[in-house]
Amino acid sequence: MIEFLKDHEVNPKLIDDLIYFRDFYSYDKQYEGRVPVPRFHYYGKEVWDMAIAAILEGEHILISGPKATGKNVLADNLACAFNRPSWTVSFNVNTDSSTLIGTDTFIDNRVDIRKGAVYECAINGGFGIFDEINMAKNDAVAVLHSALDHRRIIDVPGYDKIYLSESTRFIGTMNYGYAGTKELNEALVSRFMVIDIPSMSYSKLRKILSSEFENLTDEYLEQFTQLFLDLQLKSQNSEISTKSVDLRGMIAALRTIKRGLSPHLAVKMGILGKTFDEFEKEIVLDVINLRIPEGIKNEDVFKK
Amino acid sequence: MNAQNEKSKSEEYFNKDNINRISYSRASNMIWTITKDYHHDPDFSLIKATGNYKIDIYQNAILAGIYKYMDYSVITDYIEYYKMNVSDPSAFIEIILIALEEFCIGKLEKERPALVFHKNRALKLITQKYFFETPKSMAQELRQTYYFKKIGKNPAVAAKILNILNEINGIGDVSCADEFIEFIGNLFKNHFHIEQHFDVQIKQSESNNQKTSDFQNINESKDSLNSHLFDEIEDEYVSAEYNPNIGGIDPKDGYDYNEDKREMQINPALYHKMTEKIQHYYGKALLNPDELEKLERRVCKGIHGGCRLHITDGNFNEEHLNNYRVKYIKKQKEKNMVDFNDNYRVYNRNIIKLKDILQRSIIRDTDYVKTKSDNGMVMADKLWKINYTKDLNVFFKQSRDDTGEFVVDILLDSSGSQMERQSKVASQGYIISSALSMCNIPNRVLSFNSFLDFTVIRRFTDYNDHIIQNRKIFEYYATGSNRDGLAVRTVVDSLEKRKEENKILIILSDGKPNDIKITKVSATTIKGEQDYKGIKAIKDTAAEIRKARMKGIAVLGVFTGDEGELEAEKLIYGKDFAYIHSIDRFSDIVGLFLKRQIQNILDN
Repeated sequence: MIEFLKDHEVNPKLIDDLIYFRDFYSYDKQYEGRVPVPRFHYYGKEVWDMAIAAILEGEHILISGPKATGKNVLADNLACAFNRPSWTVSFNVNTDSSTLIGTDTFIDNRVDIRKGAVYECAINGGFGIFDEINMAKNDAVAVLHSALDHRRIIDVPGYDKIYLSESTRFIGTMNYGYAGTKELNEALVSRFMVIDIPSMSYSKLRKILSSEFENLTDEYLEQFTQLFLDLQLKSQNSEISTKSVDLRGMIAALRTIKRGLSPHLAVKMGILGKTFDEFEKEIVLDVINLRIPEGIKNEDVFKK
Repeated sequence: MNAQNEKSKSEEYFNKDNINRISYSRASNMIWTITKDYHHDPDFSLIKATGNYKIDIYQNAILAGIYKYMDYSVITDYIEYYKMNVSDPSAFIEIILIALEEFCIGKLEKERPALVFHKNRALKLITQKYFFETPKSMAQELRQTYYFKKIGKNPAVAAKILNILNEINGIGDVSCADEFIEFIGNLFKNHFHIEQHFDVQIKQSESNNQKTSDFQNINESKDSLNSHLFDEIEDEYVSAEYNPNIGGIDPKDGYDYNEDKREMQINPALYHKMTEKIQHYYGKALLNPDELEKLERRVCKGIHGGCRLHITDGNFNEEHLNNYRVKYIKKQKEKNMVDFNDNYRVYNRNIIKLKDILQRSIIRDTDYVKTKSDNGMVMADKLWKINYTKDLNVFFKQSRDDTGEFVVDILLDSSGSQMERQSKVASQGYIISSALSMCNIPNRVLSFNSFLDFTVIRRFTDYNDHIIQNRKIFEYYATGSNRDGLAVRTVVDSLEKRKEENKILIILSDGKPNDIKITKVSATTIKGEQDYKGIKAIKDTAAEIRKARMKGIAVLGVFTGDEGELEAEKLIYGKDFAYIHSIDRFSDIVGLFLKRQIQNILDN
């Protein structure tokens, strides 16, 4: 990971401090499996600079950005770079304080606390990743306020007052304006440093695809990259929804092509299939047709 | 039997207007995909759709190429110039179009290898037809030879044709519209003297037509031509009549120049007079002119280009108070009220029923659900179980179902086709609005129709009006035509800005978008908006509904028309529309659909 950051021209001073952080804070060996090993690297020097600087300064960060920009990839990458175990909480409307901090349960014939993700994370100095933080109700997240600001405490009723370990950080991810999302509480946002992730750029996408698929031909590396950008641009102009702007689907489609499926069918399955509206399907199909038409052969896409 | 009927009906809708199968928005999207510029509405007059997807995708790529690599308006003006000044310009225009195709496709292919595939497929289809057709004009001969050569055949044609095409093949170096025009100019110059064909044409036209200039002059005065072109562009909006009638390069339809029905006229006095007239008929505008212009710029695009909006709450200026229209509205209101009062008990029961449904299903605001669980809060009275039974569910969990706030817009179609059921539509609108108001759900009732160039949106009640104001809905009356797509777009534009989490749009319509001008004087259209009817209009309305849904607005269609017209309604609303056979079930059906729509929003 450190090698990658160096290659990626992240500010060398920040990298030095990051290495110091890694050496200074250790963690319990039983949580070794919780240190993520990211499948993809996050590309974007500025974002890395911002995130590392904020975390080194003890701040929590909120990653906001549209679909398919790598919010969760970045969160995992950060936990890996800082070498910390991570706890992930996926937020939804029913997320409440008991999910986050803990609730009573019955252990060894007595009522005891069942620790929630935030509790565990706080005492073990891990990174807490709040996925889709704006899906939760504001009052549910309010219990985190004392943990997130300078007090760094969680007071669990009936149990202890716990102090956050020095290396504990929280990383929220959110997609503003998704259906079902709520406006974030000002008090909550003020406790985060906010990193706005830019939408996927040409060079970033090329890097991701070429690192994931080494024998992709140059011609089709270009075509697949442009296909994604075409769709992204179209959804930014609200001609289509974000459903088919799906990097996961594209990578999965490329994998099936590598396996031997015809490229047009693969893209249909990975991208076109993500949208279910007839009108939108037509438009997405046209975009695909203008890049990956039926006639394309498997051998054109991947070098032997 | 029924299914068969339905099928033939839907086919009828698709064929009715002989509209190309690729809808306007789909074709526009192809252009935008290639140009990557979403700021312009593409003009398809240069390239007519054939209805065959495999050919159209190729032709749209050519058009996109013109937009991408050239200045589209300069090219069309250049073509226009030939059309105005040469009596039979078809061969010239064909050369220009072939050169454009050669140039654009050549450039695009490098960027999108996929086009090679589409080109080959399209050319194969097009040339298949040529085997049975002998070219009737030089233009056709040029086109056929061009395509035959592209697929590797060498047809036996005159050397002059081959020479022209060979020269076109060398177009690769051109980089902008000016250079393109220069290239074409040189090409005409090179071949003009050898071409008897051209000579005859020009001579003929000289004798026939004073306007026709010598072909060479065009080339020699190229500089002045260019400047002339730009002047023309600038003058576009002040000239008395600007008529962009442009030929097509569609191989199927041949190369005749259909007069485009679009006319553009700008006459400030007339423009003002119409605004005055519309206020006189429908009441004063709610928005000030600046706001209105902004709104129009935002929504009157694409197929609605040139349309205007008039948004009013039905209050008239002093000077208009005594006109016939005001009296008519009063009379109609009384009529509507009479109908409502006659069936007062039925309607009232409907209101109460709908209110109940809404309250039960939607506004269970703070509804706590307690479930037993093996973790959570301890239930002391169940603790005894622990050592004696295996049931360890001695805790409970509370979860809350909070649906958030709602806002509803009710849009009534008030076009002439609703004339026979005016009071019914008014009453239905009243029922929904009253039930919502009783539940304290902010709602707004609007009607829309088209009159002259205007789409008139009449607001009966606003979000926070008192329930008493709902009586105003009985001022509803049907007249004029309707542009459903534009009305929906306008309403969605303001509805999506509401802060409530769940937005619902209910449209009471008979599913017949129709807005065509039947006037003696063509001068009544001001900005040259396009006819709006048949499948084209239905598709546009359907697209607007889907766009609204994409923005998170639940759209429910309530069908008010006759059973025979259900087909169009289905196309527009998909499965989410309610057809009400009898008023007794009105609240049940609407309530049910609202419930389902709301569930959809919450599940997403």
